[in-house]
Amino acid sequence: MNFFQPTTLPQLAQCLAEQAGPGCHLIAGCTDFLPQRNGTPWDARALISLVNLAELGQIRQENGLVSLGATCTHTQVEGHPLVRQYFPALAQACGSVGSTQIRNRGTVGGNVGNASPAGDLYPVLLVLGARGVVLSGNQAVRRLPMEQLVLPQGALALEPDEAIIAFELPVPSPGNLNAFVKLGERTHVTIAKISLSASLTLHEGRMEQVRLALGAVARRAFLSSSSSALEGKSLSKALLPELFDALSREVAASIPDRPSMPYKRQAVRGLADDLLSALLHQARDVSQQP
Amino acid sequence: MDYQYIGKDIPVNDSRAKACGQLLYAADLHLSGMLYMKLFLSPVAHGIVRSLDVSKALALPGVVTVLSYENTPDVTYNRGRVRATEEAPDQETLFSRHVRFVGDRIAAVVAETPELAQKAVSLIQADIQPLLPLLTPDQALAQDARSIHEKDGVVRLPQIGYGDYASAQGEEFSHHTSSQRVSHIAMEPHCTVADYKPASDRMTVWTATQSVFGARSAIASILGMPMSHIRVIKTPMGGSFGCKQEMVLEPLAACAAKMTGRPVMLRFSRSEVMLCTMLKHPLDSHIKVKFSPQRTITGLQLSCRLDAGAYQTVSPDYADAISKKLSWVYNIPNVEYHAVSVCTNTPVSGSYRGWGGPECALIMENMMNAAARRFVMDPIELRLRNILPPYATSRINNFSLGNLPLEDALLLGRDRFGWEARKERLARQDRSGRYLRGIGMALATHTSGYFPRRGDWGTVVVKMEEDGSVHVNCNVHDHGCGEVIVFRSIVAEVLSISPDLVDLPEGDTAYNALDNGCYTSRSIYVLGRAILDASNLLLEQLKRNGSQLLGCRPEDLSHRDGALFVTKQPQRRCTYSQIAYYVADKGTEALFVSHTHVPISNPGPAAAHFAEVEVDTYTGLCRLVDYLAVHDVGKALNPALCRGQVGSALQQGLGLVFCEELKLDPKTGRAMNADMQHYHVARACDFSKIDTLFIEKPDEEGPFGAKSVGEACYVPVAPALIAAVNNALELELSDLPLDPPRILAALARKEREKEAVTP
Repeated sequence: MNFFQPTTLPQLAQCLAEQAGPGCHLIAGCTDFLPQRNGTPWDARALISLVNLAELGQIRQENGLVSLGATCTHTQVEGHPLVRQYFPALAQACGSVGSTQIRNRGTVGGNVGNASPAGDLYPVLLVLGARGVVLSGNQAVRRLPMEQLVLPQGALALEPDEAIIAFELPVPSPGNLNAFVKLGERTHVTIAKISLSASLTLHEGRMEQVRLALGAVARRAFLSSSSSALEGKSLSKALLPELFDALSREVAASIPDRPSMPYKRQAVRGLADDLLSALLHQARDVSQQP
Repeated sequence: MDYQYIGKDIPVNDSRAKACGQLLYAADLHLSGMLYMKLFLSPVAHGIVRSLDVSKALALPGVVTVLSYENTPDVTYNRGRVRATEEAPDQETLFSRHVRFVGDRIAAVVAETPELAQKAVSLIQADIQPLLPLLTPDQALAQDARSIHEKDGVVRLPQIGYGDYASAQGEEFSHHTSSQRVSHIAMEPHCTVADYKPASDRMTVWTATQSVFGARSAIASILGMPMSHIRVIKTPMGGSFGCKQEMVLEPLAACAAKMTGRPVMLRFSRSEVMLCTMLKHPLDSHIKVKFSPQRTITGLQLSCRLDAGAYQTVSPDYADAISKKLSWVYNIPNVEYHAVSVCTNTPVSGSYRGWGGPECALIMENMMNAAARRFVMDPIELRLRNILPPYATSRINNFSLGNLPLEDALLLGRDRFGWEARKERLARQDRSGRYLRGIGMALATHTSGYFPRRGDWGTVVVKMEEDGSVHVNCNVHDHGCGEVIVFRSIVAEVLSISPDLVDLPEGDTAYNALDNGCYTSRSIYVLGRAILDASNLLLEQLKRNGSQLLGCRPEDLSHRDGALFVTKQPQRRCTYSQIAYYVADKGTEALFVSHTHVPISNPGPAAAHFAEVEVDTYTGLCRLVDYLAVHDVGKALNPALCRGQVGSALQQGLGLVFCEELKLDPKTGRAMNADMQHYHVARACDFSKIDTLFIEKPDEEGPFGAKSVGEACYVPVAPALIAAVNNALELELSDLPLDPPRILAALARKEREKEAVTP
């Protein structure tokens, strides 16, 4: 087995061009990579480690975009001032991934790249309108909206010689609220049974451009039609019955045959309640800002 | 009484080595030429292997041999048997052609590396003729489980009890409790290393077992070797909770070592631990209790059904153990107990922390809490009317329960927990909101040893080295909870030397006298007393020789910090080391003591647990808000370690009540969540603050008055938590686990019933 540690993007592209194919893996925090191989014969032919690529570990703002390097850890993203300022949903999602140790090692690129239906970051990036920045073996860079980066069946839509190197998120417009909640959040180290992400603009007290995403109830998290339960309405807890009803129907339709459906259909009420609380909390903070 | 070391929070002896990664567990052993063993397990719940093709596995370079039912002893044994004379159903063989559950052993590969062994296992092909799997006790009972075992597939215990339930007067109250299959989740997965030397016919086995002699006995009988040719050494243990008390890996590794003439390591993955060792019994129980108008119990009739899994192993004994605990807490004039242990085509059930005690408490305390709700009585008050007084005699087995301060535990706990104030606060809570809170409690006791059952004793050798340090030889099996440091503290206290100067290695059949091992929470009470007595005998010997050295009478001498002195003239003194050299020069005796202690009592440690729980009625998730464990320990020899036991008990109890369950596919019997990603346990962040209150009324026989705590603290946890949930939701849930789907379903049912009543 060969182990590569490129330090520049051209080197990474070269590794991809020369090594990509069956048995070649991109690795960073290894919090999924190693457990997946636990107890099985070693199958890797080549490993390309991304952790020595300094620019992949950076978070910066330019040209109305915030760029998150693919090897930023969850801990790093959760605590970053730009993330906390613009994307509380992302901070919440990163802060609720796995355990402290997992968050210290695991990376945002890995979280999305692993394309787990229960991955916490994909739905957040989805509602925030993020794009994945992808480098290919021929050094070309392309940008894919989240829906195109991960296919509906839950697989990554990349060529073997491509790697996610960053995510770009548009800086939200004034009045934007965004939040992430997941079921069982108080019991840590849970893999999301259901997650709910939201991004919306509060305009003259009413919610506009509402984007909701449901996670862990399909092969891939998806934009939820339950946003209509909020669109154009004023933000208050009184919306709970309507939002719950919409989400409940959506969950039931999404996983009709899963044994967990009757439970999830009910329990999504807790998520709806938590989401409204989180949004109300943010709206208060926004209104208190000078 | 002022002690130097007893009652002090001395850290666990091997904590430093653990923190530095220097403690060598069995899986850390690397013997020269060692081979690795991997099991080939049945993929079906029930079937007969028509043919087994191991040729491809054998052809793989690095594979040394393949063991199977074709080339290993077909001796039937019972993995739970500690002594060869114990009566228990023999149903298991090392490997089996008749496979009885998904995970039953068909064959095993022994290879130069674990990876090769694993790969070779995947090359084994078995043609299995499927048989109808009996996956539930109901299915198995319908045909007496005869297709699983010709004999003892179903074991019905003869009726146990006293008095006559039928003639008891009073209002009859019925209740039902059931619980699920759970795994112990000790941090260390099982591992055994066996080394066999053909030239001398000597077998050495390193294993994290609760009984080195039990393991030796099993190996001797299965492989047909003299016991003197087998040495079993207990390795450091990363937790057991019962999962390392039965002989599962030892005979397999020993057989492989004997066949290859080389050392063999057998190490289980977490999934193998969950599937191929044993699990806590699925339990189904129906209890009827008669109450007088004063709400005192006049009679009890209990019927239990245990799902033994594919082999009976310890299950009949376990069912019997439940009955023993029925007459230990409440004064019940008439008791009638029925139990049946049923084999099914599912993973094996067996020993789990508390051995019937937690099952008994789950049934009894659920019933008492439900009865209190029925009678609109405070559950503490109902218990106060029914508890046994101190020094009561257990009606089953007829022995004294010791000073058993049940009333103290209830009253002190009620005060400390602020039970009445909480009750008032909760009565005023807004019941229309998302979160509802409730409080609950449970009362229990447990054993401190085997007595009056025979076969309980502790043999100890204490010897003093020339520098005044001490070696102790005793068949100790520390599970990782720290009894070694407690034993060392006992020696240190008696001799007034630092515990650091006491060496106390653990179980080793080559050096220890026969002893059952660590069962029934007996270590501190029985072995601790043996060590205390032996240390006192050594002190006498020191004083006798010291008096010769100092020219006084032994009774004139006192001792402190490793030296003797004349009490009235402290300047006349000599160190233990000086005495040791004096004795050595004298040449007529050696400074050591051999002592056997046989207990003559078995006090019950009283325990009352109190919980406040918050239920999220939207999601069904429960959160522990507050917890109090009141424990009568006689004397807390090391309070920090006692509190550690309580913490681990709560961790397991939370899991049992709220989230743990090994789920089997109802059609295939295959485990659906045999790994830590899908099997959910309670974690540190699920804990509230745990308050522990120790009652320290010394027992007459225990060392420094101590009784047991290790299992006792697990016994009342589940029913206390269940009571708190039921109090919060005004429900009567008693089928475990109370996981979120079950709680939401129960709330929905309640809502429908309410709607039906109010049109």
